Amino acid sequence: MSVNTDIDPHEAKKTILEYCLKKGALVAGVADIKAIERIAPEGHRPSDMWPRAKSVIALAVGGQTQGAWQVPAKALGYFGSTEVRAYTIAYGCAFLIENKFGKRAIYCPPDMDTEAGPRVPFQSLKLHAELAGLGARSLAGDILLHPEYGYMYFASIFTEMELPPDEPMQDNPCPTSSCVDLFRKSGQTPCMKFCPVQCLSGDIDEDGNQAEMRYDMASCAEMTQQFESVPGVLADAIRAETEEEREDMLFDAENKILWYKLSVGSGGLLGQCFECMRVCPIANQSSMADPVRRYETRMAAAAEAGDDV
Amino acid sequence: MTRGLKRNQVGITEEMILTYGDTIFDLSHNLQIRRGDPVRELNWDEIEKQKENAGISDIEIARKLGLTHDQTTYIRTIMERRRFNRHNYHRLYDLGGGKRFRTERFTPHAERFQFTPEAIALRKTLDFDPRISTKYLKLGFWNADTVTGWLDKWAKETPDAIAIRGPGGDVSYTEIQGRSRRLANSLLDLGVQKGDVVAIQLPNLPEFMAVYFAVLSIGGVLSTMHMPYRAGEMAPLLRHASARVIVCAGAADNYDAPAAMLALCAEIETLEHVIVATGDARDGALSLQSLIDDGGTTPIDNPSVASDPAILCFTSGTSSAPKAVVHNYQTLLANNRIAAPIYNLTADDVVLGGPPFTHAFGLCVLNFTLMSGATSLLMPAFTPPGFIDLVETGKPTVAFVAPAHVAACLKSGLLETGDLSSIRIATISGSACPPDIAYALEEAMPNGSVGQMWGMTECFMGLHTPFDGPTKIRCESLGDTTPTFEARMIRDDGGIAADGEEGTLEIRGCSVIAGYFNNDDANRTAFTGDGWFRTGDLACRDSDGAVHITGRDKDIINRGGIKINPVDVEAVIDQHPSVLMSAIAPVPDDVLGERACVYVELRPEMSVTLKEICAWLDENDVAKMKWPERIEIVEHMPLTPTRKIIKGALKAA
Repeated sequence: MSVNTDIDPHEAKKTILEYCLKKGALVAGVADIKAIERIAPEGHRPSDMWPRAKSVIALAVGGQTQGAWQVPAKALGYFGSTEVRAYTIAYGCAFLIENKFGKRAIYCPPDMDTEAGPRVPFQSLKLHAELAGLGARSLAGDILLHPEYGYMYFASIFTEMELPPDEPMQDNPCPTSSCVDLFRKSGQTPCMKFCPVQCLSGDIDEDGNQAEMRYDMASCAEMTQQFESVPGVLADAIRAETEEEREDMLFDAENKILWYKLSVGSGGLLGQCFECMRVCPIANQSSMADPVRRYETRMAAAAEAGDDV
Repeated sequence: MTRGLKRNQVGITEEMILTYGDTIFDLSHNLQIRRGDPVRELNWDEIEKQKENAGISDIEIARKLGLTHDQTTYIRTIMERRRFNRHNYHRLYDLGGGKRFRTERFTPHAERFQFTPEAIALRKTLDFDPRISTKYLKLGFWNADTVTGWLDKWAKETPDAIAIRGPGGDVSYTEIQGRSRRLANSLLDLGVQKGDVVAIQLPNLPEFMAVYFAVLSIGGVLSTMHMPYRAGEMAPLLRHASARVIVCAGAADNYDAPAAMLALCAEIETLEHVIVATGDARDGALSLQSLIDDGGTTPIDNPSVASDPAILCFTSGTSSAPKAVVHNYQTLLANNRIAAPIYNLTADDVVLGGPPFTHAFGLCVLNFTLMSGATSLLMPAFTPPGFIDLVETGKPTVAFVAPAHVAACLKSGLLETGDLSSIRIATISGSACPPDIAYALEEAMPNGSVGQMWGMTECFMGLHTPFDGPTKIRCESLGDTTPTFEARMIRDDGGIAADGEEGTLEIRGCSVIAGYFNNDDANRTAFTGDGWFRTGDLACRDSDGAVHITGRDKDIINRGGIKINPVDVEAVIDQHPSVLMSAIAPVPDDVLGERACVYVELRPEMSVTLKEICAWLDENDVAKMKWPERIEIVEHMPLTPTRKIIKGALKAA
């Protein structure tokens, strides 16, 4: 591949991030790859996947529509796979970089590396996004939240082009004052209180900041990572002593859903529980948290500026 | 990595999994702890310090614990599999749309309701031929009706309508619904649950109906016990039904039912509670009234549905093999619903049920009345003057009676003098009705018509006469099959009898049970496997198409509608010091249709009287209703080569 030495890194960054936003990302930034290399565990650093990587671009798309938050969890679980939109943008961005700047780039695979640990990704998109300033860790199992956009899905692009990194967020929007109030009264924030498997706990300091976040990911996975049930169901069915027992194990309604989700073949459909985000004030009440709020914010700003809306 | 490798290649033993499993699980990312916000703040000291808190990778765990990477991954994945509770995601499916998870409201699956093995065994009795059940469901003969559903309907639509007119006064549909709801909650508090059998031995009282509605509302199964039964007869039935509760009357001068039932609790493993419906509850028993008064009013969480077993009735009791009839709501109510137009019952009717609710005929009347929103006029005990008085004061518009009721009134002369003008239709059923009895009743009702109905516990009403039909048909026959039912008479050679020819009556229809509970021998004898029930009665169809019962091929004695199986009684009499062997057979009776006569072959130089036989039976706890009312001494009992008594050869002098 030819090397273009005339690239202005700032201009290139601007072009890349504008592309991401134009294609539907709500926010985008560049993470400091040196910081990622120091923080990510062995085997999950950018250099472990691709030693040529010099920059990590992170982008985020919106989570749910306002209507989506109001449907039963079962339905929400079925259409909660909007992260695919983020991957599409990242995929296009990698093409843009190679095509426009002549520098190698890859769309960072979002999949899990099941050989490395429990529900461990090849690369932590969350870490990339956090260092790029797209969100801050919440008490809800470290889900990243943005003060304006709330809860989002992330994607990353690695490139051998050196781009100036952004900074992490100055402030963490989590917990909100209402969450702190509830915590003071009950010892739980909304995300902790309404988690169906009670996998969240923690502490908030006197200033209202996160003191400790505890996340029982194994319990969370029992709720959200249904793919992990498959070998268990099959093993139990093989061991079943009677035909009736075997039928119960393979064909009950619970497992029927499992087989259905497997048959449609989308990893996104297999792991969904949004209860902590459904009750999070940042995730669903921030000014740009959903398309309706973004519309209202846009209209209000236009009205204030005297534009014809 | 462990791709495709087996334990012996990786060097893993079960012992190693147990030794290192918990530590590996905890060190991996399964539990994550973060203090402060070090990554966002790029606080490198804290990031380093907390690295393990967020969980470490397999390779890091391997280094830390002194295992190979392969071994660590292998053990971790096995531990995740073993710890993974795959039922937890059920919690998710109940959420959303405004509902929020609350720990205190959630019951883990393992702790949720499950039927007892006894309840499952009972449900297995509902083993219908799929060809038949599919047809009934498709045609709507079976639907989703339940007794509770009908009660709720009338309580909502006509809350002040009188549901019960009984000894304690009138009870509205709302009131009986309220009582049964409170009792239902009390039963649940006692631990009675869906599928459990609650036995009842009560006369036709409002308390019976409260128990009936309450037990059925929680999905319980009500098992009725005939009033004359004593502990000796009831024990095998309660045991066969695995009853958990018995509801009985209070102690009376001649019988202390609560004491007898409490004694049975010690004998019968499943029997836990004795509920006394009338009078004071003795120590160890519960008061029905208190259970009603103290019960909650919350809606029933897991109510009955139409496919659930509803009632369990015994058609004839023997200690070794009771014939227990199980009806679900579909077979229990289909017959009533489909036959309703014949009776033209409306909410304005007052229905006098002569038969006891502990009998299938009584329950049939109760359900008929309920489904039409009419009033049940209760008759706790029958005497001719009491019956006539109840008709004159309660003014029923519809009456269901047994031939014995009519015969007794006729014999006493009260049928002619009593005022039966309120009755528009009267149905005679329960046993074969001599035509003169039916004609006498028809004559006694200036505004009413007599009709006859034939049914059995196993099928409810299978034959009936139309009320607008000719008097001869109504008084001298059983008419034709009830809608949706089929009847056929089978000759001895297995062929179908022609009109005028006698044969064994077989019935098929939407209220015929699938089989007896836990009695394979009886099922083989009584059911054909394709929906036909062998009734054991002999019948023929005349040239007008009307069916007549001509006899029975069974030994059961039908004493005024009460069926007596003589086998148990004979066994007791055989133990009498004077008796060599005995047999009980019916003798015809003008009033009751049949009475029991005991034929006795004496031991040499011994003698016995009927009085002595009855005293012997009393001593041995045999119910009085089963005692023979006549004795014949025979020199030699007629026997088959295999020494079975030939009852047909016994003739009373």
